[in-house]
Amino acid sequence: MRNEEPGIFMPRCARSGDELPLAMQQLFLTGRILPAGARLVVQHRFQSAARKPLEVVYTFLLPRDAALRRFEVQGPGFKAHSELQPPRQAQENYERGVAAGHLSVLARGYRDGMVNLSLGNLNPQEEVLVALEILAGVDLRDDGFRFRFPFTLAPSYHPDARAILLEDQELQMELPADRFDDLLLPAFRKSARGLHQIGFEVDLDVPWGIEEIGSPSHSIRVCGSRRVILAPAADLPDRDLVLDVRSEMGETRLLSGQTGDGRRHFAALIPSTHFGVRKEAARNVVFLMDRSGSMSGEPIAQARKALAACLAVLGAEDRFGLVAFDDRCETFSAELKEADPRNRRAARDFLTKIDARGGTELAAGIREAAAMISGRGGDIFILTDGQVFETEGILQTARRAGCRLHSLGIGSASQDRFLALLARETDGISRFVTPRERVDQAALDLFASVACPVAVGFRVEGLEPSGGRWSPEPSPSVFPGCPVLLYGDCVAGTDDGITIRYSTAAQEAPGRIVLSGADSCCGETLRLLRGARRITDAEARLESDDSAIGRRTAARQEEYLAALSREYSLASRSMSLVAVVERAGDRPGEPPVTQVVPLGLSQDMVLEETQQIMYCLSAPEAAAPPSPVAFSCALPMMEESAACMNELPAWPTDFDRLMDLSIRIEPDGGMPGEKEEERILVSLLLLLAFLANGDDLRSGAFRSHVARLVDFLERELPAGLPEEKLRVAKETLRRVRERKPAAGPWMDLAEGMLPEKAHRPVEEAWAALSEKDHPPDSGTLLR
Amino acid sequence: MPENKQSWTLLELAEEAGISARTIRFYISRGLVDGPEVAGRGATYGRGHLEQIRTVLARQSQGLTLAEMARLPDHPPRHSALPQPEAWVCYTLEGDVAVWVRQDIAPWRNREVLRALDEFALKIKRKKQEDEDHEK
Repeated sequence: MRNEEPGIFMPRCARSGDELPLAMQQLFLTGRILPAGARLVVQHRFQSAARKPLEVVYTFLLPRDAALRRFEVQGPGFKAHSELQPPRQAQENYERGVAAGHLSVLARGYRDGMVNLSLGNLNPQEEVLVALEILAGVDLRDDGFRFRFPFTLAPSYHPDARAILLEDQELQMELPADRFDDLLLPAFRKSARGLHQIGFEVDLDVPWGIEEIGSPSHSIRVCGSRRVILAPAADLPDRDLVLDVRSEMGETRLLSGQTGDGRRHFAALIPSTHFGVRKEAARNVVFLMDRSGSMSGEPIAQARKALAACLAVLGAEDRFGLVAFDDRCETFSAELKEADPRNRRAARDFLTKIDARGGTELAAGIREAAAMISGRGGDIFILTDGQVFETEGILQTARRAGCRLHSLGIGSASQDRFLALLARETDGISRFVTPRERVDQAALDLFASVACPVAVGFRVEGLEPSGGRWSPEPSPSVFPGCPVLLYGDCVAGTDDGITIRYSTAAQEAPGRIVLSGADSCCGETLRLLRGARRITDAEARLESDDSAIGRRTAARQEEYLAALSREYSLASRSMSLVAVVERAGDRPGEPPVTQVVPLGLSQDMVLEETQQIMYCLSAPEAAAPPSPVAFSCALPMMEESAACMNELPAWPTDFDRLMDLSIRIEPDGGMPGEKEEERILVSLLLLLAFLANGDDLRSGAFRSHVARLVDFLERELPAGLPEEKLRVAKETLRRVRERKPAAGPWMDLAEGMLPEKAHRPVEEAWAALSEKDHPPDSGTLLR
Repeated sequence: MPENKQSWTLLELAEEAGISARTIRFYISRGLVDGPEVAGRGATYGRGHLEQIRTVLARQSQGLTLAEMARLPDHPPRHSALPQPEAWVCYTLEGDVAVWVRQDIAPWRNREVLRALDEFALKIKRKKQEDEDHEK
């Protein structure tokens, strides 16, 4: 299997101009995915068709909460394993091996979770397999989890990066060496055709059973009930793998297993429902919207709409702000505003003027949003594609901001690792959506989740049996739908279960969670997942300040990181993996030709977006017109973009219509209307429309809207309605509470009842409401 | 590393240039730096390679990408030990006085220099004449 498709770009020898066939042929993902994380093996198959020895460099991004464990390099007549060494020592060993003509492999981590896997001295016609073991986290929820594995890397924003778009529709980017050392970025090709092939076959391991498996990114086949395989024989490296596993946790769950050192390692999964429900309180929220060039097109349109719907959930007691950022910040107002009808209308108008442009100065946006909250306590709600390099500085800014930060990652190239850290480091939560999912729906869903934590000040006080240890500390805020994941270990041989003693701000006495069950997992896997999580956290906290104090702090933190790496035998930015294989016949010679494996531009990225990134890189103050080279490539890509847009469902969908209606909810929670009775009527109609769409008080993206409408109706019903209509309204509310949808043209009627309509079908609507409970043949009261 | 050293291994060159050996191999593969002077066992690199690397780094700091550098007419920059030739003109003003003037200077400058030389030549001629008259 070789990449020799005619007519596509191939790297060429600088001297002779001869084509250099790509040496990396295949990337295949295998492994086991648990609700607490994944233990994966990524097989990279290299084969050289060049006449000279090659050095192949493959750049990839780590998934969330991930760390490299080790690799095995295998070829004709040899097999070797990696060693964990400090980066400088590993690099020296690698270089000595390359200079001596040996096959040398180095996996070194850089900022932002980027890794260069270098394979030096791949001989002509030689085939080498590098199997890299990776531990990775998942996006855990009460009702299952979402797993994401990066098969590609997006060109992202950095103010000091250099970029060029070549005639052959390839973007090349270089990052500043003083910040990124000798990291080599891949070339980003418009089309991934002709590059290496990707595939996967992973096993899902959920002891309490799986209800549903899906993937919004790839066509999958499920074998048995647990094995997930890529349905086609192979695919292109132009998007990340995303797997959704629905598996209702229901109660607190324990994953545990023993290791050789006599310890029992465990992961406790505590569903948010364990902490009950809390009534929403008045809140301060700043919406932070990424308007950078890479958000152009459908993402920003959907983000605008989503934010407008989020505004509709706010009550009169809430205060809000709105900041749009690229390489500049634009604010709706200098300070938080009350969510009254006038301000919400003005905010919606402000949103309509927000277009995509410029770079991604996320740190400046966070500072601006935090300044608006300034000590009052509140949340920042970010919608971003997170396509930005040097994220450690942004994390530092976010930590100092002192606000909870919730993020929604948009697009196939959003940096899941970074956005998950951004939320976790600030006590918030994060989600991401793929290009095939709706941003507005996901944004509403996330906003509903973060409306009110079910527990604050959550803290583990101790473990039983005594001597039990836990780390890292869980987040002190628990949000609806987001369980607590606690890693720990205790003495092996106790089958009595594990008890977690905890406290929250609302509890007077400590709570207890008893975890029982036999060991069901590999203890070593749980130990490694915990290590990967601790290493990710430590890397995220590395000081990025370049002052003398900052450098001293960073040195101490790097020592700690190296110690963590040694404790868990996992690589990090302070420890690399290296192997040198002495093959028969190896001898020093000319240096190998270095080839960086190109990647496909992420599926939803188009040339205009990369041009936007390039504008910001080359001229942050005044964007220059595109170069003739870049512009000549733009037209076919724009056509492709238009073709993608045509694949979208017919407009508007039911969700769009509900969104348009939900935006109109008034601060008191009711729909608008000329008279109180009309307000009640259209609120009832919208409730039934939501219910028919699957949204109720507990589930669905519009659950916050449902809650506000129900609150309004419960308040207003006794005073405003004649007896018969009151009965119909109460019956409707009962249906909503019992989650019993009724068939009917509720959305049409609600739209027809809006104040701007000349002829509103008031009587028809009341009749329909009455008929839903008493079909016509049983007689109706309101005819 | 001594400044007067004439040949280095790749690792020594990397240390001298302050970048990794892999980066230098990448530059060589991109045609921005020449391959080693001596191929095979004991491949060596000279001062010209170091100058080429420094040129690449300097151009990077000016915002150029490697692909843009590869398109420059002087790519890869050559650094020979032999300096570029320069044309000079010799004016022998007297049997014991000669003045060299670069040939490729601007015309206005050349006129100024020649005018000054003319004055100087007249002056030393006059002085010589005065000395001869005085001896008589």
